[in-house]
Amino acid sequence: MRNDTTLQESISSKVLQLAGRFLRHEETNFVKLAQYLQLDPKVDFRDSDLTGVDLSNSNLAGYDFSGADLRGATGVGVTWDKTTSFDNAETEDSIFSHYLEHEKFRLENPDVVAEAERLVRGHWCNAILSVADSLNRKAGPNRSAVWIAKTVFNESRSLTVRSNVLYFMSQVSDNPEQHRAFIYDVLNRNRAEVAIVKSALRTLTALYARDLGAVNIMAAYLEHHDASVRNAALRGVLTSPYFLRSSDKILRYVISCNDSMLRRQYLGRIARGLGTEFSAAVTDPVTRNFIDFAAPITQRDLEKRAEAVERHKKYMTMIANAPRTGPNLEGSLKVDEKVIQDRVESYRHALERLKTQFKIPFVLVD
Amino acid sequence: MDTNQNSIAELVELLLRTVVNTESQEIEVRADLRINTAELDTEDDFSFKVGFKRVWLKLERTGVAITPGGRHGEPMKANNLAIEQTTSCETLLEREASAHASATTKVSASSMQAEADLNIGVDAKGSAKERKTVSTKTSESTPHIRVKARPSEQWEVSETQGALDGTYLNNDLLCRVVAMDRANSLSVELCALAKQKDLVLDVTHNGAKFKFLSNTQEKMLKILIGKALSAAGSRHAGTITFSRSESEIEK
Repeated sequence: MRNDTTLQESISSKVLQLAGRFLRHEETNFVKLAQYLQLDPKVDFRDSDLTGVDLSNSNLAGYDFSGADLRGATGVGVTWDKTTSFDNAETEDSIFSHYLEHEKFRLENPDVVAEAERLVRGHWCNAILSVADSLNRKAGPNRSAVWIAKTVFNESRSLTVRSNVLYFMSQVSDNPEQHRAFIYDVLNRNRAEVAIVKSALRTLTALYARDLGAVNIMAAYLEHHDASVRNAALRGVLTSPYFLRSSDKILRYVISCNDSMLRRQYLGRIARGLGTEFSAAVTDPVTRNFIDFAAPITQRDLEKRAEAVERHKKYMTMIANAPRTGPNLEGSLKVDEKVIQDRVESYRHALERLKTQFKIPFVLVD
Repeated sequence: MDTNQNSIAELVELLLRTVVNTESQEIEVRADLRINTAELDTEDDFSFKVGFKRVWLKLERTGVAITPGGRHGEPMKANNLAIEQTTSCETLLEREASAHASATTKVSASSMQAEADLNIGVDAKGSAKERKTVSTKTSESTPHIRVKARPSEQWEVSETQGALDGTYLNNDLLCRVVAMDRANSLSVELCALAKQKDLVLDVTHNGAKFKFLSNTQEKMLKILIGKALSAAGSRHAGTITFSRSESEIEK
């Protein structure tokens, strides 16, 4: 052991130069980053802090994560095998937790393993009915039933069996963390099966849109090759209160997908989150749809919308004040020009804010 | 004779001394422990502020045994625990439409016994349902012990939040030891170490907080710095040994 060096002296200039280059290096893949830093997978990740890391498209064979904190570590396309070590690692709410829990259960319950294998080898219809029966809500599922369902899902080659089991499992979950872990594992192992991936994304959207880890996973699927998977992922992310964390990624996708409805949906989600004045600025009062930000917006458009809104407001006020005799409409729905221009000004302000803060590429034409 | 080795004294300084009590034949194991955050600068204007949120002290002994009952920072659990039980009564009054009913309820509760004074005045048809709930509350306040005795002759040094920064032991008595029968040599060794996951790293660039490209990038940088610190101290992967102090005790 060296003695009494300062921190600056104890770290070589070579390491500091590498650190500086690394901080300017635009790569996000976990394995590639480890290679860039010349980290040894067998040694350098023990007792490390890897909370919340994105392990997408990483092959972790040979990595030693003993004692590491892997809570919240997620990703798509992650592979590992028996040479990956998780001894004493913390893996709650991570992409590994289902697998590790599953393996532990397997070792401790050989009779349940035998039952699951029997169902997998048997007729597909029997597998579906047996799983549905054992997960029956009235009877209350037990841990073995849930484990069998997961094993049948993982090991069956039948898409019908797997879609049905995933559906049954969404009705009954052992606990939210374990259920999420199972879904992450499903997504990771079945990335080529569009139907399964969509089903899993929909389950995440329905049950876990408020979970940040789930949102990160869904955002990763915005780059999937299949359009229907991308749309399922977008729907999920937009449902979440955390969608703004992925707003750049979503915007890139929304712009590139050439889909007017998605553009409207995205814009509406942001505007609703900011408040009623923003929602009003991006809503067409006639169709009651959010506007498409790719379509040009002229001064005349803004004035027409402002006038329609103010006129409607005036009408509603008149209705409220004259319930018995009916409103006197002659000449009374005219809206003052100043009121219209004030509203137009507030719309412009809102659109500018959306453009600046969220980089929405409005086309404002004077 | 005391030997103290601190690889990066700027970060962690551990000083060990042993004091023999000639009357009781016990040997006092005392230590100073100072922990600091420190900065690293790179040529391209990055600055890394390095600290730790948890440090471990590990004692190894030769020829001596720890005297029971005297370890520093022992987190004793109180044998008696106060449990407070509260019983409350609620009365719900259901009334039919167009009937007027008034009701007042007064509820008081004391531990172990519940009293409910009910005064209901109903001038129309109504029915009352009583609901009783019992809740048990257990509370225990536990102070944070900064240098906490742990199993396997270790002490855990931590704060409630943030990085360690300050003097945690100032010639404090860690434990007492006594010589074992027929021991040839007597010594104690104390190490200060940290796991790389307990590293706290703040990065600035040109004086401003650096925004990482991703969480993964931030964690990888911590591993790089942790590895470099580990190499400065010892070769143990994942664990950084900062200090090693040894005290040979004369018989």
